[in-house]
Amino acid sequence: MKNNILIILVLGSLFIGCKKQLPIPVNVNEPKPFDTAISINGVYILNEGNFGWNNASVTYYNAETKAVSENIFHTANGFSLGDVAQDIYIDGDKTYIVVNNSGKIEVVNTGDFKSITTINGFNSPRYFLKVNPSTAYVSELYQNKIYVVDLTNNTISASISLNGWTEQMRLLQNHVFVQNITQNSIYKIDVSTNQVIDTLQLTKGLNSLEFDKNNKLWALCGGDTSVAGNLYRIDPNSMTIEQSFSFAGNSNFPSYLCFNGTGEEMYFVNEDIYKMKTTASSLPAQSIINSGNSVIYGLSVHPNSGDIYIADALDYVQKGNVLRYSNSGSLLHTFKAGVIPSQFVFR
Amino acid sequence: MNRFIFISLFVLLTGIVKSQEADTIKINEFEVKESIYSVSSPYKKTTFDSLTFIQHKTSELSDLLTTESSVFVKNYGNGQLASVSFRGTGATHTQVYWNGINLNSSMNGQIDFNLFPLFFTDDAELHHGASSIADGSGGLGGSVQILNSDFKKGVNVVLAAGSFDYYQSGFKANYSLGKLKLGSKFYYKSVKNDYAFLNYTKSGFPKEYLINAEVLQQGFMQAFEYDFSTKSKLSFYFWLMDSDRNLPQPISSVGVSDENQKDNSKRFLVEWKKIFSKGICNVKTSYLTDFLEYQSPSDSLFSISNSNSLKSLAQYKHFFKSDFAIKLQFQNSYDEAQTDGYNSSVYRNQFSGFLQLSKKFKEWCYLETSIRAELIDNNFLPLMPAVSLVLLPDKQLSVKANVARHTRYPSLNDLYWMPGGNQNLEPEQGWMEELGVAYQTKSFTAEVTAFNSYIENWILWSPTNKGYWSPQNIKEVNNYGLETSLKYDYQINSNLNFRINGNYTFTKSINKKVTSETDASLNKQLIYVPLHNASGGLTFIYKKWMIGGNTNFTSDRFINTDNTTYLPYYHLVNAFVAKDFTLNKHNLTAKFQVNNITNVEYYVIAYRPMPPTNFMITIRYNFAPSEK
Repeated sequence: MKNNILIILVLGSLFIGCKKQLPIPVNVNEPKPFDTAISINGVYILNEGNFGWNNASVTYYNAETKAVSENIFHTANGFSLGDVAQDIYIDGDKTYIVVNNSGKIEVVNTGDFKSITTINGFNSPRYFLKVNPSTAYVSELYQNKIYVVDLTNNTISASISLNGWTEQMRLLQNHVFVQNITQNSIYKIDVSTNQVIDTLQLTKGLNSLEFDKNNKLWALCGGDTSVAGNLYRIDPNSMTIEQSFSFAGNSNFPSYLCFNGTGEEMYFVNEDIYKMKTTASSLPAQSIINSGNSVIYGLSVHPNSGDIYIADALDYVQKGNVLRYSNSGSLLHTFKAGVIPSQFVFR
Repeated sequence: MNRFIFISLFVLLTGIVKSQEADTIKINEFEVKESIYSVSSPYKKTTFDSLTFIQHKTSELSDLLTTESSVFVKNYGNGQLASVSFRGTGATHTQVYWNGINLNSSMNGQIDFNLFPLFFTDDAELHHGASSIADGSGGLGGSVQILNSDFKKGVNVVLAAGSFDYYQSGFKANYSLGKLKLGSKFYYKSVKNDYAFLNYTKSGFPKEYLINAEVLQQGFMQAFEYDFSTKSKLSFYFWLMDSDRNLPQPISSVGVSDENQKDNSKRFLVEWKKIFSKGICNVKTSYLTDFLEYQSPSDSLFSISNSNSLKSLAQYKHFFKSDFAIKLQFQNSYDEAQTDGYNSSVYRNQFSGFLQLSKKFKEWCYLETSIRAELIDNNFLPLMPAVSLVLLPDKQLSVKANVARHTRYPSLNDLYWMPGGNQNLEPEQGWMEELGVAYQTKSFTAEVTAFNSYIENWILWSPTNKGYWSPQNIKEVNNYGLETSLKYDYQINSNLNFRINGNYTFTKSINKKVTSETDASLNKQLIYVPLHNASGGLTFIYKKWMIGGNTNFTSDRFINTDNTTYLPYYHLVNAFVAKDFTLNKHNLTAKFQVNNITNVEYYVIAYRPMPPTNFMITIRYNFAPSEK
């Protein structure tokens, strides 16, 4: 009988809970502290993170020393950015990070990434664009509108009703050009009145919008299995297509259009990476960088050095790779960023 | 062996252990043991006895598996989506069968284990690994059998109330009119799930309450059985399940939380069973219809999916002698599905043949071989052969070894979803091996099973350069590990009994293939597969009192494929006390239960908070007239 009681006590002790701990994810290796030394060739890499996983992050890369600082927002502030970071916008000493699923914009000090404030009240915010010293526009996925944010007090002051999922925006003088994903069109908005004043219909899969050196608007449409991709040069004043380049065949899906620092050379992804002068009369036949097995998820060219930065999200559930190439296409450095690297901004 | 769902605590006091000793073929009754072995199966199976089952009678299938088995239950929250992983495989590798009819969605290949209240289930079994080939294809991890068989006369009422506005009621009545037996079950459950949690995604970790997590569940089952003779019977089942769930957002979200999902399933089953002088014949056909409506008004999202299936099974097992048996089975499944994601309705026909030979060579040596062939539309799946050997060095000890190949055909979404669906997908397939040792006496059972499997053509949805995701046969996974289980019933004296039971699983689930040499997930553990998973229970029965508890330990789980981030382990403890009141044929049981007694804060899925300490009171009334 005594033995039985002993057995019971021993077994019963199995049911006593262990010490308390936080339920949140743990990093196997804690990130190194943020190297706040500002580099002229500094690169901020936005990592989207997974939906609902609270793992969006910003990686800082010092292009001179090749030092990588991971997750600098969390390191500076002690809490995570949220998830599905969609856009990062540097405005001098302030940086705005749009976190889509978390429905917020984090405003941080560009130097040390310390949080200044959080702008709330969005439903599904996508991209941020400062349109004048006191105002920014924020595009939106579901709500058929663009938010107007008052930057003096960091609140939503108004909204512009329009139809569709709005994405990237570009500013030229007093006009904002907005990419409409659902309609494959571009809206032109007058900043002084917050009114849509013109629309231009393009073809399927509109994914990029950029201005060149001569203030011509370039738009890249990926197409789909039945419609070819197209690259368009658009006159922003008359909102008419001046020139178009068609990607024949339905195996093409061109995307990630970006420019070099002078605005004379375009880069884009069509499985591999291509470079094209704005004055070219046809699409480039040869790629400058072969992407191998990677599915490219972000592309930018450093405005000063001309280095090409490529994001490879791998399987989207691990730390992605950043590949840094020289402008002539030779690999300079490969390093790990956060989960789903998607955007590069340079300072 | 039959198991009585109306077992009361009083009965439990006298006979916890169901006998496993059926060496000979008893062909003259329905409770025939369909095996020539003295061991329950030449493969690893998990069974639940009546004591275990009755303790979980008010919970969902997912809860039973979490605390009483070695599988890992991925739970998005209390009553929210739950999937089950055997041996490190994925949710689509677990097949669920209701009386032998597959219930997995033809569309996504999965099943939600929180849509199965145990109130409707009389018995359940887990068939690990290759064991599930006898049930059908697709169970690369294993299968879960839920069974209805009970027509014992009586009335049963269950009422439960608990924390977070939990209310449940169930009513069951079985009666008979001559050779016709009838059974009805009604079920209702609602829970608000507005529990508190600390929001670690926000600055300062504020205390918040879960919103938009309400669950409403209703169900009805009507069963008939007509006994032509003691050797022939026809049964009919109609099962209606209706669920209306609000879906809480991930706690990092700040937008409007108004997502809702409605599931409705209607299941019809007709089964004929006949026992011949040397064989058993079984023919059944089933019509299943599943409806799912998802909406998120604030995001203007609304979608409906509909699927219908007609499934039939015919099976005959013949015993040539007491040492040799042959089983032949044919299955046909016709699936039809519609959703906004498909261009038009899609159809699929699945025909399968299965042949099994069982031979006893000596009293201590058995061999079972089987093969399954399956034709999907016009494509043959790779054959699924299996061989299993059982040795019995003595009466208590058995050693089992088996090797098999198992395959799974892609789901309709994998093939036809627009955009992304890939009609060139190959079936997933894997070789699996198992070696097990079991020791069993009347009061003590211990089992250790080592498993190994290598799955190729594992389907994974991944992004394409076309801007959408698409499934590819890109993964190869090696799963290996150990499953152990232990059960001990002990009578301390005539008034006091106790039982201890436990399961422990060690699972390595290793990614063996990457498409890019810079991909760091090669040779790493798959995400959300705990290396260690243990569960156990301890129950004391003193006169008419029962007191007990159960526990689950889940070790760290990586949540990134490069194994750089993990969710920390958790250890949960639940406890209960119950008292039984019996007056003649009336039996009343009152139970008080505390779940998560140590108030552990934990996530099964990252940032999906699980309930803190919570309470439940259950009253069960049972009336069982004596059988004539």
